[in-house]
Amino acid sequence: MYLEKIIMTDFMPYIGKQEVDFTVTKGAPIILIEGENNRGKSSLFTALRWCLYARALDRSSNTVSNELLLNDNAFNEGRDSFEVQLSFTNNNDRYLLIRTCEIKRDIKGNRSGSSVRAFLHINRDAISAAEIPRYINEVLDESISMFFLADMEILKNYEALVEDDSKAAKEVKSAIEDILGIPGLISVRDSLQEIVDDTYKEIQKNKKANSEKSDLEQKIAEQTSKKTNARTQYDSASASLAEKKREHDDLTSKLAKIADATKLIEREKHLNEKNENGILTINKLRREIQEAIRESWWAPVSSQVEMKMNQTQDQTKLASQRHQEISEKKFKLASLENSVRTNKCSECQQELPIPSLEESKSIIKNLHLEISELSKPLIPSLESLVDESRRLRLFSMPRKAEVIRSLEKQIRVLQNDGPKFRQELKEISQALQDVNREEVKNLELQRQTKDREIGVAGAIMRSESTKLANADKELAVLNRKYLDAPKSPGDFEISTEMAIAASLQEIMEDTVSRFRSEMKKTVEKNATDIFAKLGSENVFKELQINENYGLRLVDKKGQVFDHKSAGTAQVIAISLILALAKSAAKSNALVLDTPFARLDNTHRDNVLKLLSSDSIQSILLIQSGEKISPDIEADFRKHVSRTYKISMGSDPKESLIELKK
Amino acid sequence: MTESMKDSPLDKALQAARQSLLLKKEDASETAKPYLDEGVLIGLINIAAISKFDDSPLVMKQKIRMLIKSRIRKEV
Repeated sequence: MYLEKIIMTDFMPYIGKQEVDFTVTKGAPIILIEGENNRGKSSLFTALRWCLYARALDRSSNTVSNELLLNDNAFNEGRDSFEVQLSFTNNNDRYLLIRTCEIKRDIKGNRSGSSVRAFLHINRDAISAAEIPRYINEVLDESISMFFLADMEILKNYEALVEDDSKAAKEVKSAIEDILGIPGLISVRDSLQEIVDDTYKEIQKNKKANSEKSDLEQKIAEQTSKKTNARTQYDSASASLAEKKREHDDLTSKLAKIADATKLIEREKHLNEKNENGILTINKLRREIQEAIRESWWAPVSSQVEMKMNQTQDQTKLASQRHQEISEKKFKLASLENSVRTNKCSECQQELPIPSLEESKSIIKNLHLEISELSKPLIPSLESLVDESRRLRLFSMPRKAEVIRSLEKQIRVLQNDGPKFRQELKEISQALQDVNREEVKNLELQRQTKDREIGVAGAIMRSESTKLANADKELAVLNRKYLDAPKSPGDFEISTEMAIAASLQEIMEDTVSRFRSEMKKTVEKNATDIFAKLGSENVFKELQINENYGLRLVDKKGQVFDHKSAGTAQVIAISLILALAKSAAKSNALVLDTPFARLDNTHRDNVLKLLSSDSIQSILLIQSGEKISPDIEADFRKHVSRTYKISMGSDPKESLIELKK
Repeated sequence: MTESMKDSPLDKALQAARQSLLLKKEDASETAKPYLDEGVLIGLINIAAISKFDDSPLVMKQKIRMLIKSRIRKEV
């Protein structure tokens, strides 16, 4: 990242719109910004950080509320927003990042909340708000920003920061490894392990799919064989049928040539059969007539049975009437006898007069007589009539005269046909005098046989055709299943891929370890070199770097030197920052806030000399009046592209940043 | 600036990978051996170098698989 310009509007002490040009010329990579204490150096530093990450930190690394970032005088004058614009380039892309903040007021007019909006253009292309953090972190990840936007007040405690296993120590370690590019290698290593796992799963899956496909292939082979057999059988049946049809056609053709004779023979046969049947029928009818004549002798018995049955019916009817009459009379008799006994009328229950009583007695007497008369048995009795009818029925037969007449008529009809048939047969016989009847008969028999054979062959062909169609259908289903079965890439490729990924994973595991160790050595060596250049003492051998990227000063005897000096701690921190900047995977501008606060003149001069001799864009926020040795000042100034001075504005709460002539 | 400072982290990573390859190739499976060379390592280091912000783990995995597959097909 190469910084170009920052424009601040009502941000902290910077009232109104104020800008700083960070562009540097070749050979002069330094921008110097001078200011008194509490005049706004750190506010400028905060503006950079807030614009990039929407977060402002105080000297204790605590987040500062957005509401407090608006200039007090601007707020009192009724302005409710502040803004920071930052222009920079990265990998030849031009970035313009604008972040604005609206401050809300409560009823009393106090600050009561804020809302921040950001706009990012890359080469004039607008980036969506949600994507801005990702793009900014791509340029300079917030986690590593502490080493490029370096607040020396925070980094002075660097050694203590990486001392333990705290979260902060882990973050610092992670940030340094990020700068050195180690996470990329770790990601590759982890991805290779995932590829090994993935390919193993794919191989297992393919094994299953291949097994299913193999089963299907076997089934298809079986079905294809079935189909071939069915086809052979069908073709054979079809050929056989065609052959028989051809033979049938030959026979039919031969028979057609002697069609008249055939017809005559057929007719002769028919007539003969009919004649024979007629004779047989006549004989049968004659037998039936004789039978009827015999049976007709019993006709008188039949008339007697009929008479007896009629008589029986009459007697039955008479017996029934008499039984009815007796019942009625008995009822009347019972009623009268009751009236006579009680001397009361059975209907009105009144006493009977003397004359009526006498009359009733007379009626009772008559009724007794009548009942006695009716109860006498019938002559002849009903039982005797029934018995006689049953006996005579054994000899009863229908009348046969009409039957005999009908049979005789049928015989006459048949006898009339006889001469006609015989005449026709005689004519046919004469017509067939020259025809070989045996040959015609044989041909006809052969044709009938062929008819039967064609029927059988047709049935076989239909059966084979059904089998063929079923085999086709089954084969189509199997082929579809086979095509639909998941396609698996060759086992060779996947297993080779897995083997390569596994080997590369091991190699990358070793590479990460080697690279980490190598980069630590590089940072250690660079830091030691820088520390040596910055220091005046010749008693230290090197700066050692430990697992947590903590730096230890080692003296010439190889002993760790516990310096306990704030100035030395700052020199160590600067050495680390510059070493990381040189070792980083990506180059970035350095912004150092108050780098000389705890340094003596010698160290300060050495830092300036070192920065002057390097090509890294460096923005130094230093205290006004910082004395630079006359020996190096002239040379140092040559490497400064621009110097700004921060001074108090019209009010102590306002600062102005101006280019120093 | 010392000699080591001139080397970029990418070069250092590649050097480390080369050393690892020399050490590990002998123990690698016979299937993998023909494909383990500097070309594959350069491919991996390049993926690592540009992956930091651009790629999700899935994309990185795909890139590596593509690299390996292209090597297999080239060899075949």
